[in-house]
Amino acid sequence: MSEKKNIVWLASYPKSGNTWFRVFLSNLFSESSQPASINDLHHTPIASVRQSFDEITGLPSSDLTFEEVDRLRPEVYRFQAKEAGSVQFRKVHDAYTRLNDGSPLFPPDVSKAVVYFIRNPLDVLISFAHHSGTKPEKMINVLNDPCKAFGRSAEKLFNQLRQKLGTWSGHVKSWVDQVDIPVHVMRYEDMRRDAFPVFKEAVNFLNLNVRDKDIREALQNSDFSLLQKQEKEQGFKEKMINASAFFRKGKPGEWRTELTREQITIIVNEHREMMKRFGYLDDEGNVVE
Amino acid sequence: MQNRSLFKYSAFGLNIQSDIEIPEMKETAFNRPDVTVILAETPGEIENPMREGVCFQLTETEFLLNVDNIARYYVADGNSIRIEKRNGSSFQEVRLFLLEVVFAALLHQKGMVPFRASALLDERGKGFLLCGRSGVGKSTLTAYFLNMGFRLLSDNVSVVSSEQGKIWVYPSYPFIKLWKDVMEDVDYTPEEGIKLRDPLEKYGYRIEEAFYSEHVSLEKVFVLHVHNKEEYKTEKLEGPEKFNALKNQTFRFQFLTKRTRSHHFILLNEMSQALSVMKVTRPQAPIESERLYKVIRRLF
Repeated sequence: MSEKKNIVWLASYPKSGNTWFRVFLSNLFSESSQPASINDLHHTPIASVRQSFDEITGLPSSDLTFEEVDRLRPEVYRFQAKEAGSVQFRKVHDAYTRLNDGSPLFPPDVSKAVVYFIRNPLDVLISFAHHSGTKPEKMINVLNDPCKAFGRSAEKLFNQLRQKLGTWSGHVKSWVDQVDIPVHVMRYEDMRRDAFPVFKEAVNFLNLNVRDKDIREALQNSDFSLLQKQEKEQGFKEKMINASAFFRKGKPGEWRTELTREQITIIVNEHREMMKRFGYLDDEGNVVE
Repeated sequence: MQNRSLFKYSAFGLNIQSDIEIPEMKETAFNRPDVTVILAETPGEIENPMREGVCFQLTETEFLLNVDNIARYYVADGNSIRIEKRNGSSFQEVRLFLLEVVFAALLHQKGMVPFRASALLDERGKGFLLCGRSGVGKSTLTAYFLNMGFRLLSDNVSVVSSEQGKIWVYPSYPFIKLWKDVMEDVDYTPEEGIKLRDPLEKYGYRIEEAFYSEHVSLEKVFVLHVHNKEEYKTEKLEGPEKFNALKNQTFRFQFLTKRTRSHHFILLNEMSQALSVMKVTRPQAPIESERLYKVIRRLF
């Protein structure tokens, strides 16, 4: 049976512009001229939803080990790809990892493409700290932790499956350097600076058959101030309980005023290579953006 | 000639005769079983399945579930379960999947409706359900209700039926499962329980006196949700919202077939008319059982 290559992975380290792009897609696919609800991002569910896994496998993931779940996840995605009539988008915070047998967690045989969202790790640090209701100094260890994973405690049940992230650099490298699935990188700072050409490039990469006018309208309806307004009025179900807001500031360069020199140095020293490669450090090693 | 040592149990309103010991269930005596559980070879696959998932296949009368390295389970005609145990797996692991998923498939085959719910008995002798998705806090809250003197009919999967113009809930077995992180909140300890599977910190507890082994009239359903706000919220559901809330609590809805679906919808309709259904939303983890209990008690 031939399988369809119809899954697009919207992959990122947390707080890197993924949700904004998902809202954009919801608006792009919406038949209404009104802004799509931030609480109805059903076109782009996260790939680690426990309930979908349980329904598709028939097994209770809560009674399986992390390794057993990971072994079945590629099969779940193959199943979803086969069932789907059209392109499927899946948000992903996992790094691109391989199972013990060497096969990828995200199966290339049913994957159409990856859009990878990257953001200056210094700003990620601040945004992720707010999102988690903690302070930036505590998040430094998170960005630098090679074993970082969501839902990794064996003592409790999370509503999502375990997701291995690794360090910020490791996460970036895992997705942008894999050669199994075509990948397009979007820098958050570019998305904010001049959205239309950057989003259009992604739309073209994905071969979505839409007009420039549709992209512009979808961008208007995904304007950051609109997302903030919606969150204020209706709440946002993906916000963590300890965070004041999900769509908080979203401004590039917040690190300049929020982080200490020491905090900046720790992050730069740890992530120099990837920061340089994606334009967050200049040739002299100064942080830009 | 077979020489089986047979175990006899009662669960979900059924007489179950088993090759393997199922200590989670309540032993009983009977002459004719409704269901037999045997250790035997199972088919590798079902021919022309009408539905299949990654680990299961089914027709109107057959169901096959494969759990790698644990066992393959074959359920037929609503009255027999065959288990092909894998070398290296423990019987406790085999039972973990047998008791919930495999029995749910059997119940669906029989046209009985399992809900993703714990069932308890209130002070007036009426049954109520605590429903919700995996991880929402059903078992923790159930443990708290037991601490407060309520009696248990089932934890996690409950069978509901409609007979003589009334809605009934059946007891399953006297056993509840808790994750380590919530134990303290409900005064349970790992030492008192049975670790269900390494490396999972999930423990099982046998419930003795507090178990109620007769079916009872069902009156109320509480559907548990979580949200990212600090407050507790309660809503009485009516109309289509009520119907859909009940439908969404069907355990393994994907195991329904053409034949069982119509019966299922009739039952949901009857439940919708006869029962009081309340949506109860609590703040995200950690669960505070006492507060949640008090919120629900006010709805009685």
